[in-house]
Amino acid sequence: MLPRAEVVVRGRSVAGTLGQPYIPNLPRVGACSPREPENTAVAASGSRAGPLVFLAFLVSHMSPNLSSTASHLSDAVALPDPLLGHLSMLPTALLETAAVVPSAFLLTGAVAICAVGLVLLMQPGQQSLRLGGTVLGLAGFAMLIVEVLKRAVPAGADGGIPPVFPVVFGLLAVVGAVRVMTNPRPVFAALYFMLVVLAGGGMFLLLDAEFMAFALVIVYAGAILITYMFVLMLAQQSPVAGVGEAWYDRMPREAISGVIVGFVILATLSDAYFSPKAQIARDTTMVESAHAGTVASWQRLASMPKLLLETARVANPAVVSITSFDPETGRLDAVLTSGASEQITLPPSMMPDNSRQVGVELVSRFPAGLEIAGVVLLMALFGAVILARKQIELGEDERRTIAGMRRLTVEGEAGGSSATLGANR
Amino acid sequence: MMPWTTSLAATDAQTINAALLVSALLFTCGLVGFLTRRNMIIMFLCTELMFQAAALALIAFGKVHQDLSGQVFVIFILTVAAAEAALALGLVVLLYRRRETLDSEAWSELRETS
Repeated sequence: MLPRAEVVVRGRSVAGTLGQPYIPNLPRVGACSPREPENTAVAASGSRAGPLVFLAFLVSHMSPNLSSTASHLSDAVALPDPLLGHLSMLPTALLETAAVVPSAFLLTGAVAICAVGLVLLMQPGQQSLRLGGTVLGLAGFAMLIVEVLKRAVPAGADGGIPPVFPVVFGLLAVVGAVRVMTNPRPVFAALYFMLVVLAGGGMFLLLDAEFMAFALVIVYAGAILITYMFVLMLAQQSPVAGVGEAWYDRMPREAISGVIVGFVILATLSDAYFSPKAQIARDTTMVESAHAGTVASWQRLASMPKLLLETARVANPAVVSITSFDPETGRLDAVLTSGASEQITLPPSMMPDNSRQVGVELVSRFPAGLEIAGVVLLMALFGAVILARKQIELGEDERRTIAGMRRLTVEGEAGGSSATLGANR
Repeated sequence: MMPWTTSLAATDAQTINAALLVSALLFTCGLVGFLTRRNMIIMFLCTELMFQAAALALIAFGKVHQDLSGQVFVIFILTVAAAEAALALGLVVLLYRRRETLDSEAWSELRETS
């Protein structure tokens, strides 16, 4: 990723030495200069190579080579070193609130840029405004995700492979979501929602939730969205020639106040998720719960004796029965065909797969929830049947004619009696 | 800790951070869409967006805690979303038959004008 970013950047004749990762001349963590969004917007809209430059900006910021940026960073803002190594969990890092404030301001600033971009995107029928909104929104998203990813990496540590997949899936999901809420054509909005679902499924895969990823795609993209499509076909008005979509699809209602409400919540959420304090708490929890997660997996395996025996047979085909299993260590005592007893330690790769574990968790820890989910689905089924069976009352056509609305039955066909309606259905 | 383990852990943390950010953004888009769109079907589509955001956050926090409860709760979210879609869309079709429009403001008086 990195060399390509260099080439693109050098193609725009930005100073950068060969073989050195490109470090843009922008303030890093902790500084929110008003120049930053402008730079991004100008770079992204400067020429037809705009998207490439945007990518280069994204990639160069994700450069794992944090150590080389540390000096750059420290003369941009006098950040105390302990804050950089937040994974070292030094309590002093929390006390340096003076250095934390501009960093929090950077997130809030990026959220504000996104909000302005979204307001521009929601203006109907003005191409230039919408283009500016797209650029601003992408720039805001890039700032947000770069900052958020940077906070996840302990300073001084090698960031490893730049996280390409989370960024790609995240960008797809967010672009899809914005199109869902701004597209004037409802059918396209539903299709973009499918994009959101697929990208969300990818995110689930990255988070080791394989079963839920596929369940999500099957249930959402396969079932719920198809229902939406059917209803859109049943209920949508065809576009008026010359005018386009119905007016209520083109005109947003109270765009600015809506965006303000939404993005105040986003600013609060991003502060709650990504403040240094929350980040340290999350990292600590991850480290602490790693062992508990392994033990829980082995316990789920222990609750399935047949699978446990099969797993032990994979480790040693001569196993006949298992006398004891210790979930803490994954060690089991087995009786072999020869009659001898042997101790086997199962490697972590032999843990039951995600779908099995979710299934065991579902029926062993949440049986009541499972029953209630079944009842909810049954009630929804009854409700949908009752709603769909709603009869159109006798004489409704006459009342509709008086009110100036379209008749439900064809005129001259027994005037809207229930018999006709039944035949029409 | 070995260097490669720290780099792996950092990637996990990065994925979780990205997922949380995306979940917050999806929720915001859903909320703003619900507030600003007038088409009733799109409004319900935006609630589905918010469901999606909640599911993503649950999975991400489940990964933080190495606990499968988050994934199990996503199953319940899917259940509720399916039930909601079935009922809400049935209602939308009924409302459309009455007024011949999907505009939610046609129903701002919460009754049928006759």
